[in-house]
Amino acid sequence: MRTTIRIIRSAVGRAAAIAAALLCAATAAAVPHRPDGDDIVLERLSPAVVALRQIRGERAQAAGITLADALANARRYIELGQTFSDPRAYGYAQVALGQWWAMNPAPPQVLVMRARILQFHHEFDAALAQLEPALKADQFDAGAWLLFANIQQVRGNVRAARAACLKLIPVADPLVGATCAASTAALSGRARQGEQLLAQALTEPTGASASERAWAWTTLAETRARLGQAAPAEAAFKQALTLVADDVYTRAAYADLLLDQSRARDVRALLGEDAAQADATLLRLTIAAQRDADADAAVLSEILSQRFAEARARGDRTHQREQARFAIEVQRDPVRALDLARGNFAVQREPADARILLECAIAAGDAQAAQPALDWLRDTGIEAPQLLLLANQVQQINRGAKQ
Amino acid sequence: MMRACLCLLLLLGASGVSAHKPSDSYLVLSTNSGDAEIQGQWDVALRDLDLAVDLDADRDGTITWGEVRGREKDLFSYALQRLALSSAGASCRPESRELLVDEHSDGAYAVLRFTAKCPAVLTSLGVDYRMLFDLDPGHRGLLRLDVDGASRSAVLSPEQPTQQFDLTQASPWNTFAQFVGDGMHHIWIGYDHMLFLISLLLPAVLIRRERAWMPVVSLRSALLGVLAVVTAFTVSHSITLTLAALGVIGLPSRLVESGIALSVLLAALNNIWPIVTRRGWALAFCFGLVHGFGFASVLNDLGLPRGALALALAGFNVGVEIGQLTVVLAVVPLIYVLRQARFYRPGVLVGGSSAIALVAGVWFVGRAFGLGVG
Repeated sequence: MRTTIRIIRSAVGRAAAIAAALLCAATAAAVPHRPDGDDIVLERLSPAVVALRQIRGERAQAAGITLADALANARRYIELGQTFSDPRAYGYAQVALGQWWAMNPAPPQVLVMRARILQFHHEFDAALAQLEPALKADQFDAGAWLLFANIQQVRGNVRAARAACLKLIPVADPLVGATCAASTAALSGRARQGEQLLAQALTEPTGASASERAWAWTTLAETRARLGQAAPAEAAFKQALTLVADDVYTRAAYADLLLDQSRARDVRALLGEDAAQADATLLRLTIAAQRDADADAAVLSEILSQRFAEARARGDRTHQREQARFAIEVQRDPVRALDLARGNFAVQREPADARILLECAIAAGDAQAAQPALDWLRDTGIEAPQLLLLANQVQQINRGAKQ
Repeated sequence: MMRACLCLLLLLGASGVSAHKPSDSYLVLSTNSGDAEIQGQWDVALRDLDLAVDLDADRDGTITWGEVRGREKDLFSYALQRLALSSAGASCRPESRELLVDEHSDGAYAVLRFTAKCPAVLTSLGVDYRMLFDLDPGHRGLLRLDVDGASRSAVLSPEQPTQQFDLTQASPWNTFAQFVGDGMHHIWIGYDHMLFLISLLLPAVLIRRERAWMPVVSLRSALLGVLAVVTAFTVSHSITLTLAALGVIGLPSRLVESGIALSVLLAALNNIWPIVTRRGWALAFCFGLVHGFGFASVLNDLGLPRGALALALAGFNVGVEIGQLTVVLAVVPLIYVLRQARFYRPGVLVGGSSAIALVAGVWFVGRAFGLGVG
């Protein structure tokens, strides 16, 4: 009992420390100042920044970069960018490609790398346009097929994603192929088979990298979560995090599972001190703090709205899903949230995007706005009890309006 | 005080790990009309400066004030060489003023303050921004230009690294005039406000006696009635416009929009089946409060200049009144002349009001129940 209390206390304490740090950021923002002493630490560079700097240092020493070096450097930047959800890394990757970034026609590997960077900026069509010639030139590039499948899946084109997985399976590690297949199966009405296939593949010896194995576990976890299997989903998330403890996407998805189970305290323990580094994790921490009616909630919410305002100021529209969720869950502004959720669904169409659109439409009492999500649910035949429940609620609004 | 203590504690080095946000710098340039000098403040993330000039000299993964201060000259020369300011084609010479630090939502920033001296009084400003684009093409310079307190902004990117501003238009008078124009425009295109006003004006040339409408005898009494209605409407919508524009009170837009439609509907119905007959101005006052919220949301959409809020608000309000006056001037002489005509009461008052009520009814249902009409 005492240990439990201590764990809870330390989790809350950590959240309070983050809130304090952020509070400081928020309040000090308006006052440029001159620190009192030379020893005062202004910034601690995160592990991601230090790693990025290291790549840069190595690059500076190497004279006359070859295409292979440039591609290797760009790949390392992008891997770090993915793990830590750090947008700057994608800019560095672009610079690392040097003369090859703008070359036309470019070698297929360069096209694939460009597609990765474009995908990060949510320029999905442009990314696909790079990938198509690359895949024509090299049909055996497993990474390119996987990226192609991924983008098609994000765009909601499940059929095209499945076709890409079929091309991927013969050329990739069996686990990677299984993950691709399971992930599209989960979106097309065969979630249970996909789940079994993937769970089986994960028990077999594999040559896949740690990040690929983690991705397989995360996909398994998300599939289980959508099927309503909370405990097995949680076990899979934990497996993923033993492989990639820092991965922002996995941590955020795990936090969503916990939030769905009303386990706000556990969210705060999970996200811990690093939650503030990425908007995705900070958002979950803020929702958890608010549900707990915690004093930090207001400060966290303030910081997040500042970050979103800054993103808007620079013309960034890649965070509409997060912004919609913030607007509905934290700011309780369903009209604004619905606007964002609709804009988001026009660009990306995954289960989470459908869910936020349905939730916002219900809250705003606007059944018509949910139509694209309803169409998508019907066309894909996705197996997700929670989404179907929301779809039913939308249809009830419709009926209510007609009566 | 509590907050200040917390900050101090944290600045002493407890936490403060940088967050992962795209790279942005915040460049604020300010000047006044008639000046040949620009004051600049440029907030650049320490993380980005570390990339460019290697701030973390001892490679311990932290950046201290000592490390930043020691490179003050390098920081200014790095930054100011990558920003070219010019006025009418002649370049303005930037000089460093002071180096400070600040916290933004994603970590610590260096604050570079500088002054740029231009050869002549500023008539235009050219900004050519080249910082960090070579290291991170995702970098953006978020520029705010303040002239006499009125702000304009721009986002500078590798695709769009330059920006030209015409400074001759930025005087307070121009801001005011621009918002007057916006206010008038809103009345002329905002049929709901116009129809509301017309509904209130139609009976102003009549007087209610023994359950029947009679034409007023003198122009004076007609004008007094019009004056009372218009004044009441103006006073009440000015109150809510001001309060809502300043953020003192706020209402959901759906409520406001359907409230406006309802006010038009009720005002028109009142002409057909009169309930309020002698105190038309009271009706105008009550419903005017709702219309003020509607004006405020338009004003917010236009984007209020931070430094000239009062001016913009006043300008917009004056514009609304001018727009409203033009409606009065167009309608009142016409209905005054027609008031004695046999068709005026059945045709114009009842017929016109019925048409208005119909339109307003459709708006109301559409806006209140989100059916996408009106």
